[in-house]
Amino acid sequence: MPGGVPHWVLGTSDSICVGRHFYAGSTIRSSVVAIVHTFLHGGSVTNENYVDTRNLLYHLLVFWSRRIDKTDVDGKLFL
Amino acid sequence: MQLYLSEFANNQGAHIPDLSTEEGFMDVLYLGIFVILSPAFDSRFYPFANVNPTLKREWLNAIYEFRSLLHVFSLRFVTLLDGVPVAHSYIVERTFAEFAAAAVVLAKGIDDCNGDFEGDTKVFDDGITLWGFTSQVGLVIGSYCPRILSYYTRSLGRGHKDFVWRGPHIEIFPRSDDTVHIITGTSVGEMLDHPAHPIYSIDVDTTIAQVGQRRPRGKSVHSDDQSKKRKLQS
Repeated sequence: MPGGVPHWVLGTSDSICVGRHFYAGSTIRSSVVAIVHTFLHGGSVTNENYVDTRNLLYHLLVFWSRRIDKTDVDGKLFL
Repeated sequence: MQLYLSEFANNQGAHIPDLSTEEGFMDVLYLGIFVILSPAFDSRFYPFANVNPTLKREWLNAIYEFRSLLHVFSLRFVTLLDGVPVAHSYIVERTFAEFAAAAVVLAKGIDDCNGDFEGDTKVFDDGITLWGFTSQVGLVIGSYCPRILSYYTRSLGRGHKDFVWRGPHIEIFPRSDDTVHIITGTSVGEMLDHPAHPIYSIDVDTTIAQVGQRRPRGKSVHSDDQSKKRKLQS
């Protein structure tokens, strides 16, 4: 499920819930728009605001840049 | 571990956007634009003068890589908007201005029940005021791309709300001798601004005589067409 998707969890009995948050390259557009909404709406739209994980987005951009720089227009590597 | 990361980076397993597709290009574009604007959405960047130097270096390095990536894109591909050859910088800067405007419009429009008030100033969860947020957005745009400040202001004025691209259909082709020949064979060449939706307020020469080789301002090959283009811009 990409970022920014409203959702809720229904437990039919007493439960222990474990959740994870992640950045996926394939859903990155949803994630960045969701961060903007999270920043502005705050606690009304999210239960956590992971500010420190923004550095991961910096790293992801650097990774993409260096990886794409080694890729030809046909998508093949020319290392 | 190093070996694993190296294998991961060089082979399948990592989602690397395909720049030859609109989707891949937009993935890169939105991440890059967000990274540039991230000081506005990150409490660690308030006040901007006192940012942790390590954090600031990481941010600037990511922006540098984004610019490098866009340069690689411009060397390899040409872009068409609804069939009109327009430089990729138009797409980048229009998206950048509209994304920033949409964020500020959203911030101003947040219902009072979602924001506290400090005097007459709205305050977000991190203690950042609406004034501080809009100032930070303006500061980033002014530092990174001041020539779109006027379009950003216009987008704010009309209450732009879309974070995603709502412009003409984007087509991406490899930059080859054939595509360059076709584009230079048209009457306008590759344009820096879109005639139907100009974003630059200054009166620039909007065409490029040779794809990849931009003419200096005021040096138009088609001087007769120039007056028409300028009328379109005004």
